[in-house]
Amino acid sequence: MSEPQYVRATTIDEAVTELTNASGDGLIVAGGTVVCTLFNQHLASPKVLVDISRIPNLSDVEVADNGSILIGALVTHDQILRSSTILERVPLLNEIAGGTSCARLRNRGTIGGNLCTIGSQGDAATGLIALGAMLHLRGPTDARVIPLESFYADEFTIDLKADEILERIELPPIKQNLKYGFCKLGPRKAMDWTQITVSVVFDGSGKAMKDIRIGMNGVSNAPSRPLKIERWLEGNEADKIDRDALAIVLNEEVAPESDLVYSAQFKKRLAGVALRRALERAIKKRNTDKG
Amino acid sequence: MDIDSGEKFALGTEDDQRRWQEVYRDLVEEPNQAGDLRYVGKSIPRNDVLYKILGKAKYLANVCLPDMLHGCFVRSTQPYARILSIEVEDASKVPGVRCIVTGKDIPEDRLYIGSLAKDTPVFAVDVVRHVGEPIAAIAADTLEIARRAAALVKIEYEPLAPVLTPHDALEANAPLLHPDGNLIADLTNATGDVENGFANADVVVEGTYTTEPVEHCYLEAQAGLSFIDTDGVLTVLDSTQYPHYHHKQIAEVTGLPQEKVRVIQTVVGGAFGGKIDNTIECAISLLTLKTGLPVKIQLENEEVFSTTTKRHAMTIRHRLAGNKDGKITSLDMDILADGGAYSSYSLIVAGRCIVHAAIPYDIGNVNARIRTTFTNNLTAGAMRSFGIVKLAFATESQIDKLAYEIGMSPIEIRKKNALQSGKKTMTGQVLQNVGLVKTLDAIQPFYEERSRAIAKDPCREGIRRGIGVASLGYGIGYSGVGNPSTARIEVTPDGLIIANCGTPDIGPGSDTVLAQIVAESASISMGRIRVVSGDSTKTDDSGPTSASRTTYFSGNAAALAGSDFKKQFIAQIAEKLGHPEASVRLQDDQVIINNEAMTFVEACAEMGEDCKNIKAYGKFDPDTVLDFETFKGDPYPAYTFATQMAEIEVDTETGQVNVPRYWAAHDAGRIVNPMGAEGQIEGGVVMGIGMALWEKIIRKEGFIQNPSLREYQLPGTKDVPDEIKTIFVESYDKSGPFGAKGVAEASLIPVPAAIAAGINNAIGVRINQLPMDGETVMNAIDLSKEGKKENE
Repeated sequence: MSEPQYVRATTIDEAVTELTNASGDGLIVAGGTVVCTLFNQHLASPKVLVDISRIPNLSDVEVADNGSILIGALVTHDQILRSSTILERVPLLNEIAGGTSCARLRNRGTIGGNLCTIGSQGDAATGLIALGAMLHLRGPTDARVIPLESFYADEFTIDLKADEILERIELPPIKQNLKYGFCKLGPRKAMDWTQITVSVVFDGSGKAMKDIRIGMNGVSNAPSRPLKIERWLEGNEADKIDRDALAIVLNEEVAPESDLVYSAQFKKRLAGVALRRALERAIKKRNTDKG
Repeated sequence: MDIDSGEKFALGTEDDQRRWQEVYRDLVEEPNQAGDLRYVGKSIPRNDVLYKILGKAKYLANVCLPDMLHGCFVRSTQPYARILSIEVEDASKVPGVRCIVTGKDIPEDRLYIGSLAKDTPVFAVDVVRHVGEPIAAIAADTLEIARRAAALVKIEYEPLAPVLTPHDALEANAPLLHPDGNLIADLTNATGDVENGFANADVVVEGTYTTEPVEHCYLEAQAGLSFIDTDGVLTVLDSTQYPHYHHKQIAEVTGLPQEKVRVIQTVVGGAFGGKIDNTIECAISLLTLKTGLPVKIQLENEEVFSTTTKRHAMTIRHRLAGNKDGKITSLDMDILADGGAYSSYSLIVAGRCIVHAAIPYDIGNVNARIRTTFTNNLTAGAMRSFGIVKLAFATESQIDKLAYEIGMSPIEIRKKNALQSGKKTMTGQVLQNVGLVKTLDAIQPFYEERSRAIAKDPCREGIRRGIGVASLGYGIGYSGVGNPSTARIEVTPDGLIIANCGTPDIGPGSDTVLAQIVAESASISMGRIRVVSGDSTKTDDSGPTSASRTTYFSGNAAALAGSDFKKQFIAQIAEKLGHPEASVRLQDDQVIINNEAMTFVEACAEMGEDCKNIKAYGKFDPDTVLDFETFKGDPYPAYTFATQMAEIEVDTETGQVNVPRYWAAHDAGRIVNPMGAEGQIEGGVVMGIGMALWEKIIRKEGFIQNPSLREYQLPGTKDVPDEIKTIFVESYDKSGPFGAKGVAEASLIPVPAAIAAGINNAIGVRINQLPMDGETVMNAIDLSKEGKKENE
């Protein structure tokens, strides 16, 4: 394997140009936690390695005038864990970051890299889907904004062209009385490929849940938003879910694959448990609106 | 490369070691009163600690030589096949390839090797018996070139139908995997009248227990570097737990006289039984002899998983009978074990299982049979406890079941049946210094306290809690065969003591323990002692570091050598200074002559070159015998005992088992280094938890499905107990060095059984298979619910 050419981009435009010039053989590296692993296992052999880690302004968490939250693609898991903005407005992301991998990887791994490389295993995508995240993508000629749940086609395919870059993630303004819950179930307590992850977000002003959004991972080959389950849960009370009925809805909507650790059937079962626990945890938590 | 001494890999030069001497001096307490020991029994930091934490210790990956070639293997891609042809021409044409060796390069009478039976070809010639079996080895200028060439070696196979289970191996029409048939071992050990015991018992419990192969998971892969030294000696630097074995084996395979081969152990990053058979040693030796150049091979992590030995998969059919008063009357077990492609340590595992069938209990009627077969799975070999962890999983689970049936506490039933000093084992050995009851006594207050606490609060948010207890007894050293250890001690005129001890330190700190023992028995400061171990030229063959034997066997040899040194030193200095021997004492690093003291260093300086006259020697070769037909005799010189308790949380919706707290009470004789022993026990407990809850090598048609730490489920730091409480019960074994026995393997043995008992205590469900992962536990919960419904 020949060594790739290494290029350090200092602006987004430069990075996009490099990717365009590489005509499909370019690979972006930021924190390097995934890309280096891919190299070591001979799973990636790009001709050009485009380092975007020094591009300014992509490492910030900001609140826009309209109240939406902008998270730069280079923001690390550790930054999310420590950001007061995140903690105050979207503590769900803070909670997810706290359980993501280990300190060393959190220090280097970026949220953008996480979404673009290991989406199918990442926890962050579930929280961001539940929060209604939009991705700002930039290509050589235009920029576009897409909802995160439409980003994932399948395990290895994302809606990102070879010459496009994920610039930042936008979360809509956080409404009052928003409740959130998160649950992760896997064979061990950290860092497993086999992992069922569920994030839920809903309006908890009344007893019944309103505007529920769910992000799930580990039950199909990419992070997903289970719309049927959302519809079924809408208007229900979070701590009074009929387990058997939930199992039927889940069965219709998710189709996990068996792996070396758990069977497909067992993963479905765990998904039901994780979803219920996320809901139960959501109503036990205080509202996010400082009240 | 000129290597005058192997210990430099771990300790550096004498100057490097001096810094450690300064550190440890502040940490050794003065004895409280006359007669107290100064070094033995103290938590002295390991002698290699500074060198290791400074990053100076040399693991094989750190060692390179000029003109060194890099090697790799060409391996079988078939579980069972005839080799029709091996074509290396294309590979040898790759620029940078220096040498390719195959089985044809070794005369047939030297081709077959093995730790016990010589049934394993260095390279497969006519048939392959498992996926990953070596067929050729290549040395090239770079590793990349070697690997590229390896991919070009063409092997034509005629695939044969593989035998994948021991059950299939025993079928009448099964293909014979080896000329003498498919049985590696078929051993039976019986005493009393088992069926009568069952017929007359109040309660009989039955169960079939199954276990999967597991990987040792040492972090440093097998690695070796061979070269010809300036004296023309083929020298092999090796990450191994038995350099002397490789020394003999390399001499046999290469045809070199033994004095022309030297094996030096480098710093070993874990072994656990996995670095005792040949892996890379013979291959690099042959490549160096053919090229005249240094050759290094380090296995890749995935190669370790998919080609080296594993723990035996076993199916244990078990029946246990007892009376309502708790007395166990009869035990019957039938074990079927998967030995894999070659025999390795299978016979030792089988023999140990049979001898330990009833240990640590006094049971009158016992029948135990084990059959181990060849299959086309990976070879099963030595691994921490040599099979006893699986035996304990079955027997201790059965005892727990019996205790439940008769309403007796798990502590009480074990006390009722415990072996005691003066009692005979099944082999007829009369035991001394049996501390089992002491370990049960030590656990009892914790058992009572936690039982009460859990009874008050057994279930919280779907998490059910419970506790489980299990015990063990384990013979130190190899079963009923001579496995002596020796030690030789010398001193230099500047007061440095060189203690040559054969058994190598493979990570647990045994060199430090041996230095403590030498210091204590010779009455010299520990700081002067440099233990040289694991070097086939510098030290005698003192057996491998395995079977929990190093502290006991090599420790005894070191103690004898230390005393001998003291005697010889006194005689020499007395003669030199013209005093009668009776007026000279060696005490606390001082030489006292007629109440006048000089330091040990001054005395050595005084003696000058006469120091070389001192050649102290100690040999420990206990009288162990075992009749391998009747299984009668005294197979081990000492036995170690323990009782452990696990607190368990079971998530009844996910089947996830958590072990928040763990207690381990051990009778390991006198503890030479409490800090080191505690480390061993904590490591063993964690290893046992991994085996109990997650670990298994997943096999499909002879291929390993999870060949790396990415897929293989090893517990991480978040998965282990918050607290492991280690208790050493006071004990002194007069046959051991300063009363010590052994501790290494014992720590692991009861763990899966204690966890299984804890799960049952928490949720009322018995699990008979390892690992007890989430899905397995949920399936068992479902089955038990169905069972209850049917009974209603």
